[in-house]
Amino acid sequence: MLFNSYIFIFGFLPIVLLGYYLIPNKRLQLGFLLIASLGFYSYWSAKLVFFLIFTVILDFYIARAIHRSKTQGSKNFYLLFSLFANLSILFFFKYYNLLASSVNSVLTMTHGDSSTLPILNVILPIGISFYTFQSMSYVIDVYRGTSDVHADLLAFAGYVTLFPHQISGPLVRHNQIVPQLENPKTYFFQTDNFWRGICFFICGLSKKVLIADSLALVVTPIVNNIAVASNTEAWLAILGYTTQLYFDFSGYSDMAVGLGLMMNIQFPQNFNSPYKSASITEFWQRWHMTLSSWLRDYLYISLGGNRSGRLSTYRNLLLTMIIGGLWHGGNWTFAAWGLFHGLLLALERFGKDSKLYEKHGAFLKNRTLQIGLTFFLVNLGWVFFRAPTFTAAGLWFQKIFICNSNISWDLRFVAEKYRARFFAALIIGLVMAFYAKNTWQFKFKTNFIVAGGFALLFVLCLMLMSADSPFLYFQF
Amino acid sequence: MSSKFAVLTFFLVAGALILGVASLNYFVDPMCFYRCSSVDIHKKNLNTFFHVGQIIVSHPETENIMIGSSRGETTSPLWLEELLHMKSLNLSVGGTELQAKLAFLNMALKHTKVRQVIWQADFFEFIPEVIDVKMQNTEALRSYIKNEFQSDASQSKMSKLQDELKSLIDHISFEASLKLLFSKKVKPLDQGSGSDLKYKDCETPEYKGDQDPDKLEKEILNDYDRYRTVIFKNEFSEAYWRIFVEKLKSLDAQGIEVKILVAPYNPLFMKRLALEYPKVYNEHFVWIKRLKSLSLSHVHITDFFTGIPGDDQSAKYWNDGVHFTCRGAMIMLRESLKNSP
Repeated sequence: MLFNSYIFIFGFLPIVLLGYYLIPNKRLQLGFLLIASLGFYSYWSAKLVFFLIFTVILDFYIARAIHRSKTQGSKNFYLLFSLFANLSILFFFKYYNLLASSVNSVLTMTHGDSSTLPILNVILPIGISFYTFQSMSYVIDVYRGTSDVHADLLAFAGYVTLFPHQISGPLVRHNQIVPQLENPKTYFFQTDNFWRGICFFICGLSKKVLIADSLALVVTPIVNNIAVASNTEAWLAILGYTTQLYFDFSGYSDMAVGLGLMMNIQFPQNFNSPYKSASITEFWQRWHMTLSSWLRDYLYISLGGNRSGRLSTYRNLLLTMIIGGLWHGGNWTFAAWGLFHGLLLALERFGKDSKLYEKHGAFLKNRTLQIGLTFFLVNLGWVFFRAPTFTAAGLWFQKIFICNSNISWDLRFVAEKYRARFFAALIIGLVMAFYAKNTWQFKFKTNFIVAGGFALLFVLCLMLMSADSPFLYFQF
Repeated sequence: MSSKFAVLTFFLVAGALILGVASLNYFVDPMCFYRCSSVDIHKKNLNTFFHVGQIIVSHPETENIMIGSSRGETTSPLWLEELLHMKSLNLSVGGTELQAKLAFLNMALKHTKVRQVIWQADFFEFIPEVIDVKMQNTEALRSYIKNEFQSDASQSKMSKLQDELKSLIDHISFEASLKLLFSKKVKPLDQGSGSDLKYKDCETPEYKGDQDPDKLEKEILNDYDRYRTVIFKNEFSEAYWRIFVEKLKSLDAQGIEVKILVAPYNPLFMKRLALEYPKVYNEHFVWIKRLKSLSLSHVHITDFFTGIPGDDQSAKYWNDGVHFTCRGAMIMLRESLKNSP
């Protein structure tokens, strides 16, 4: 079920909110929320919801076993067991086919045999990357002793399955959400939060429907036919996709935050105007912030972080970003995207460590120039992220840098009927990304004009909402 | 203003706006979704399917009809009349699939003197997922296929409800309502698609087609994209096939001639289909084989799936990846319509 669907807005959401606030008992309210969240997931797949339930129960009891363990050996055993179980499921669904096709390709090159490992037609359980990481982080925290065990399975299950963040994040931590679910105040209707929730939800819906979906109408056909697209179209596709991805994913995150607020649950910020960043390091402090902090806390630091010298730091940055890239999907293009960002981060770190900028980088001190350069590099990175293959990415780069043989400037993949909507969305989107406040910086005043304006925006979104427009991050 | 009043104001204003848009769309009913219980020829509307119904009802003398999707729109009914000496209508319209085609056929059987049906066959008409909202929501048309589609399992009740709700408040209905309110022009009840085609030009050596030759390749690829997102990803419906065969048997029993024309896709489109979706590509041949194996004395199949004779793959023959020009249509139909009554 999509947040941007009539069934969600006029069916699921009102029923859940009414049930949530009308049920008079906190435990029952939490139980109702859990059932609603499982129902939300089952709407997509009633079978694969059992993987979600399995993950929740496994990690809850493993964390408890770690807490009760008296020896380090048994703690290690339980942690490894949890990591093995969680990552095996994730690996099988997400990376098995990548492994099989890669092994087959290598064998074809070396032995001429291409059918060693079968390619399976498996359906990826939606949101698996998000809920696996959320659940695993709890076990790791208990193992590290940075968190107590939660006594209540219901609250923990409520945290992992909570429908607003279930499928595409934000990647919330147990210590942010479980205490809120255990707090009785959460279950009383609070109009201030509800109002902010409405505002966040409509901001997100508008980002998705008015900007991202309008851009997708043109970006998708160009990318699918990048081999015959013109150079202008290659540029429009890269700018369009950069804008689309930001408005799509930050729109989803805003909607999730809004839904949480409607139930008095505060989610963390996931985007902080990332295209205003003046460096790649800053970009990662502003883009998909909950994933960045997860990777930092559970991967980069586990690898040694910056504690073992410069070279180790660069290696850890590279590894973290490559794994972070692969987290997005079973395709080597994601690894290349991660590697690209890892290299840039390592390079920035090197420049900082060796004080290169101070000595030679005076011309780079202009913030506008820094923002422009960062934006350009981020755009290039998205080519790997969006292109289905390296060949397609290569063709796209050729056209961006005008290195292709048949240079052309036409706009034939930009359908006439979508042209005005696309260019309006692109310009508005870029202006907003660079110059406007982000959703978290708004105060959401409570006056008639603001309330009426949001109502108008909401109805406009309802009118423009297309029947089937999934969020880009659903595939991860 | 407190947050309580802000929330209340929001719901009141949003409710009023939704009610306003829905009321406008309901009362103007530009697509004939809500207030058209039957096909009234005087009803001003923008529903291309309903318009086909109006054409049928307003031409009771018709003896020959052509039924097809947008791929049939490049055939002139006047040329058909000239060729067959029968009063003809071209009921082809973009977006039709089996349900719409059968609705038009049943309507023609009821309101005209039809003796021959040219069925411009499409593989995708057997894929229920392509059903157009214009068919799904138009009760005046659906009433003609009640016998064939008693329980339409292709759409769940929930998604049907969602479609109906959406049609009341979506921008397409809203824009259509405004357009209908302010437009004075009424679409003529001519002889259907291709009525205004200068068909005599189509077969001349000078004919170059309407498509810009430089744009053709991209148009083909655009079509391919559209097809692969819906048509190539969904299954051929055996239930729809059975309904289709039953209908052919019924026409055969009534002595009505049926000319089924299987047209090709553009060669470039076909090449990609064979390469990227070999299963779907092969299913096309299975479907054609099944069509050919129907042994009904009044049903004749002409298969051009592997190509239009003389096709040079230029804009002379193709408008895009799936739509051939009037020249292509005439070459195929001349062959298909041999031995017409």
